[in-house]
Amino acid sequence: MSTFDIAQGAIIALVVVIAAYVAFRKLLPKTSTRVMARISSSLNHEGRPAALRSLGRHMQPAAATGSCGDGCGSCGSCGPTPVVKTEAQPLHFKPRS
Amino acid sequence: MSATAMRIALVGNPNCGKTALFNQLTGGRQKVANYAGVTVERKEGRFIAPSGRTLHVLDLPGAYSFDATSPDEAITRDVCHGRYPGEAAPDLIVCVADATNLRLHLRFVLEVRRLGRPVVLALNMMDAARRRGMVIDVEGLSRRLGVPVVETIAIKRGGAQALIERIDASVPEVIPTAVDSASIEQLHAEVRSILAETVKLPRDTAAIDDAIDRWALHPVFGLLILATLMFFIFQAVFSWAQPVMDGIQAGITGLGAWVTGFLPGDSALHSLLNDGVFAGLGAVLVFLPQILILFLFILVLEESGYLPRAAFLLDKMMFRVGLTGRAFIPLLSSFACAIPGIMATRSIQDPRDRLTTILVAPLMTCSARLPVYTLLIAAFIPDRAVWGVFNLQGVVLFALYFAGIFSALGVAFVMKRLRKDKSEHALIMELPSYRLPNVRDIALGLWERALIFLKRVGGIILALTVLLWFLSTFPGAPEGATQPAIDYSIAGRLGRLLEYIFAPIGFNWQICVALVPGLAAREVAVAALGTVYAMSGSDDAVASQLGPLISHQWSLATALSLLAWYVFAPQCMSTLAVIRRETNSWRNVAVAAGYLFGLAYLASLATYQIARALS
Repeated sequence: MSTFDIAQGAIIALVVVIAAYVAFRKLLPKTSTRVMARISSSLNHEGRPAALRSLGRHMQPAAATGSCGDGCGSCGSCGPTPVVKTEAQPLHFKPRS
Repeated sequence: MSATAMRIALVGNPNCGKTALFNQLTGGRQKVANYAGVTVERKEGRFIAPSGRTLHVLDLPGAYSFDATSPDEAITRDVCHGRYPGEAAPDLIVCVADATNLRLHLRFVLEVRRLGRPVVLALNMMDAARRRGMVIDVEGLSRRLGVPVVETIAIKRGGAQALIERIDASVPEVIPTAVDSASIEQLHAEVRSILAETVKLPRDTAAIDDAIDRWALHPVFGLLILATLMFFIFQAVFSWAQPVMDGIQAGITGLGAWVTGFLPGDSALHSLLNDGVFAGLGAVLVFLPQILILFLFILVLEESGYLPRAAFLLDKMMFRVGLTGRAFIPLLSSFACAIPGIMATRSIQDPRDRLTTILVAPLMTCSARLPVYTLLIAAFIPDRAVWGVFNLQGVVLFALYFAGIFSALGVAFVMKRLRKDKSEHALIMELPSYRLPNVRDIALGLWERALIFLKRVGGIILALTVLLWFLSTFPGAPEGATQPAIDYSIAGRLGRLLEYIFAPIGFNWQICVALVPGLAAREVAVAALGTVYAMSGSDDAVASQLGPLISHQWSLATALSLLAWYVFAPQCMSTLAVIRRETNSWRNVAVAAGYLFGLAYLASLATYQIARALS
């Protein structure tokens, strides 16, 4: 196997892994945040090597937002998911009495 | 209250210019338009006042009163009363009122004043008021209301300067007044009394508005004008975009050839760049001009104040099929994207009407469908004139948009027949004054749309294209294989499996493969088709231009069937996710996905079988 083949394999593997990660983050923002938080906390344990702990801290995800730019259309007018729930949102649909 | 950071809430009736003022103050770029109900959730920004103080600004949904009747009004009510979870009551309320329509807006100002919090009244659109010959005694108004009053023109640069200076000077004292009326009748009487004393009004409405509305709201001519406008838009999408599209296509092809020229032709890296990135992304990127032309018209119509008129014109028809006239704006927003459209349903008071609108919103033709439609139309519909005037391709695009609209009306009608509650609600909607669209706002709006599209191309679409290339490449063909390598890959095998389900509607295995990543977003299907055909061993030059390729390989029946599929199919996970969020129900998601996929399959089946029988 030539050096070109090895470098090519490594580049393609890296690109595919990054693409899978981006797709996971964009399409399943909440699940990906949960998974990242779990991985991050397992790496950032007492007794782990400093480099791993640093990586764990780096992987600590920000709050998932899941905006409309993630999946559909070309909209830009909706903001992130509200952090707090109010009585007005979301609605609970009930049949009228 | 903190001496350094002050919290300001912008409140007022819908369409009085709160968001334009918010953008002026904070440098934000929140969406503004000339109709009620654009802002349906709270937005926060901040700016540094000339004194160096940090001011946090809340832009709240418009409200006619604190007796909230819709979810968006409830947010405003709760924030102003200090009852919004996790949100302290504002230190200062800036009550924005349309100076040309004080008869309506002052009532809410009086309600806000009764809260007993520091209030500043921003008299917005003062330029329009002066043009109409209105004379407002600002000092007298301030005296009568017991709050400071400043003049603003939110759509002009520097139009909020007086407000900034007033906010920065000091927090106004709360002056108790003798007119804290309790009932609605008393509030109206108080408004009339204040207006009589402080405002000279030559006439109630603008003469130009009345002149235009005589035609625009005419039951026959109004509908004709609306239909002509829509028709013109779709003609323009096809006629104007072609030269720029050709330029982009040539640029992508040239760039692809240059970049891949450094790599061995039979290497996997060459294939990734050529068949994955350039064939996939290039197939989507060329549609940017068409998307921008569509948005140019949408933005101009939004800014002009014509859209609520269109809602008024169509209310009778919408009422008959079980939709409220208030559904018009959310449904119209869905032409850009179903997600803001579904969120805009928060301005609909009745949960039943809101749910109906949410469930039919995905049928409106969002801009993500445009690449699919125009690809197929350009490939299969001849570019020729109809009656010497119209372009046939534009006519077909117009028909597809109307197919979505009529389907939505049909589904709403079925829902109306199925539901137990037969009560109906009349439309009460404010018609704004006509306004000449601001060129800078339109340009900014288009710039943002272009950025959003390019971000999607460079983000989720690129990621899914790379993954599809991987699945179309591995595992490779075995020794002595006779078929193209993609036939032995994971994607190829999956496509062959799905073909059993989709063969009756005329989809080949390549389309089936493209539909899977296309579930994430509709335009991904175009990128996926580009990649799949490039991987199928097609000549590179042909693969870089997907349209001519599919026009040779597909039958007309297959193309029409795919068009019918995209009119209905909910190929957008984010839309389903937002339905879940807005209705808090997986059942509603299942209903939406179930009926939309069902309709898509039936429509494609009928289209394919009829087209085959006729050909």
